[in-house]
Amino acid sequence: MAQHPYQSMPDYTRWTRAVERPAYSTVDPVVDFPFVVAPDDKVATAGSCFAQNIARHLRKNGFCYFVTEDGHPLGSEEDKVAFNYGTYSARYGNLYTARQLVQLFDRAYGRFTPIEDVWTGPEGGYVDPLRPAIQVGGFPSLEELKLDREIHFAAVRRMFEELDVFVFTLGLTEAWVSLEDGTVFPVCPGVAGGTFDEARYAFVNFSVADTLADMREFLTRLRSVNPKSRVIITVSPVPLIATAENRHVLVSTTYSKSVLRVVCEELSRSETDVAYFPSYEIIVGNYNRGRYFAEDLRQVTEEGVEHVMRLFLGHVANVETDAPPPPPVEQEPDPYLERMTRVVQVICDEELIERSL
Amino acid sequence: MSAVINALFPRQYECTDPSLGIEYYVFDTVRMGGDYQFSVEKEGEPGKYILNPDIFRMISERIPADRELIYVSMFGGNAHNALNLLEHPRPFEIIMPSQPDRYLEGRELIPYGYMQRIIGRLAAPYVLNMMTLREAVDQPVFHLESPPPCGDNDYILEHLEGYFRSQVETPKIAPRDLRYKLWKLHSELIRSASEPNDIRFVGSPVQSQDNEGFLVPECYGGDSTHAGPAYGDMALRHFERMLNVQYAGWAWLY
Repeated sequence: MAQHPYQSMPDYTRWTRAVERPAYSTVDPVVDFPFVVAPDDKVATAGSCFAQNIARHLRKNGFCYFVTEDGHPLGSEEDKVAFNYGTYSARYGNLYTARQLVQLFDRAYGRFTPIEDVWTGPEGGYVDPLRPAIQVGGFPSLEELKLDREIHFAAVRRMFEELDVFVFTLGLTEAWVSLEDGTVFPVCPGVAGGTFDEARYAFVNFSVADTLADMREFLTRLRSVNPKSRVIITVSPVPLIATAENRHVLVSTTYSKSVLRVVCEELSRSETDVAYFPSYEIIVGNYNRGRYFAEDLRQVTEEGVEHVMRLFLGHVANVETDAPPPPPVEQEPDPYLERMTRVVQVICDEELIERSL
Repeated sequence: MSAVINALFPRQYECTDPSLGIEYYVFDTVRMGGDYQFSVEKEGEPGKYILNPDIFRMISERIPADRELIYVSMFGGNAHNALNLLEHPRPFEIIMPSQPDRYLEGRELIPYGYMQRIIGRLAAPYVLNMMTLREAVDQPVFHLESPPPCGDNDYILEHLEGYFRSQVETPKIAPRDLRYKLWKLHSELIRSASEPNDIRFVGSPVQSQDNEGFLVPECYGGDSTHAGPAYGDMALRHFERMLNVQYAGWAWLY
């Protein structure tokens, strides 16, 4: 019988054995992840919307989810969510493109200051054009916006310098840029602030070369401040909500995700301590027959996220995935606030009684 | 509330005919208890609150039927004090949109909107009382602003109640500017809850504040959080001038 390489290949290389036959919930495309994330490793996250799920599950499973801009403890969990504290490791909001990640680093370290650094928000407040949705209604004064931004940059620097593992989810290749200085905006000017003006802004659709160059730039910068850092890259499975290209959104989605997936492949093959985690394949793979997308065929269901995170924890963090997860880490109510509220209520009543008699 | 009551006790009538002046019927917290439920859940409608019907029983029993009624709310007014007397372990600061230069460096900036949510939550039970009152009556409803904060740190430390002293070994007072700003934010929240709901917000009398907005010393109340009878007197006279009425006496409502 003739011998050939496929005969000795493991099951996971074969479609029938790895994709067609297994129950969908057991399909596992993660093979030989190159490093382990320990429970006490500081894990920071950034990227597109899907990265929020990774952050949420790391926290839920007792990992050292590294947050350097956490929101004052007087605020409740709901307050923090509304102001994007803890959504990611610092309050930068969604970073959809690799260029935005480089830009974040450069802004935080004073290497880049956009010419256009304040917008008027749709509700009248002031908005940081590079994180326009960071708080509802924008900032009520320019002074607050500027001071908050300095605090944010300090938190970003601390994150890059102290993290052990950086998880970045690439989401898009389409973006809008300033024609004046090349600033990349997370959303089209005019959507969440500012005013659209085709003489000032242009649409770009980054290529593999652009995105790869940006990611390499970022890795060089990160290692200049944190040589021991390890990076996990993923591709968001969430399709484009709209394309600015004059073509079908499905075609644009395939292009964007293909570019991002190729960049991840290039990087993980060529860079030390950079690993690709296939959350994209887990969600989009046809083995699940579309179960992991919600009714809108775009949002990822919780079942899909659970599948991704079960494999992430099992392969990347060596967590026994059959074991029940540790109890979620919930925020304790601020003891100062509880104590002071009680005290104020007590003194108010008692003083009133004392003086009225 | 205590400032007003202590002002009413010694006050002389300006008008002997109650039908021509204003007569105050003050809810008797001493008799009814500090934990009296002004708002109660409506029977059969979980989550829907109404003014405690017992209030109307008190009104019909205590107030002559021929009197023209108005309602004055002094619910709450103290929520911000939970945040601004003793220094928080993570000392914080806010920037008022109206006075953005008034800012202390070296403290953690809390976004103004974030602080609005914190104080809004603390004030919510009192705002609920204002709203159930408003919904329960057809007559005019007013709300009197709570007194401005004391600006004298030494005075506060000297008059700090035992409750605060028992919290920490060496009490440290939050910066005076922060006390002012949180009081102002609280007042703006109450004003914004009042006016769209047809509740007239009555600000503190101008003469009760110094040129930085703090309570003038003659209005101090002898402790760290309350204004005194001089403030209560100013606030009532300010209110009466606004309505163009004279004082005609007071009684407890219970």
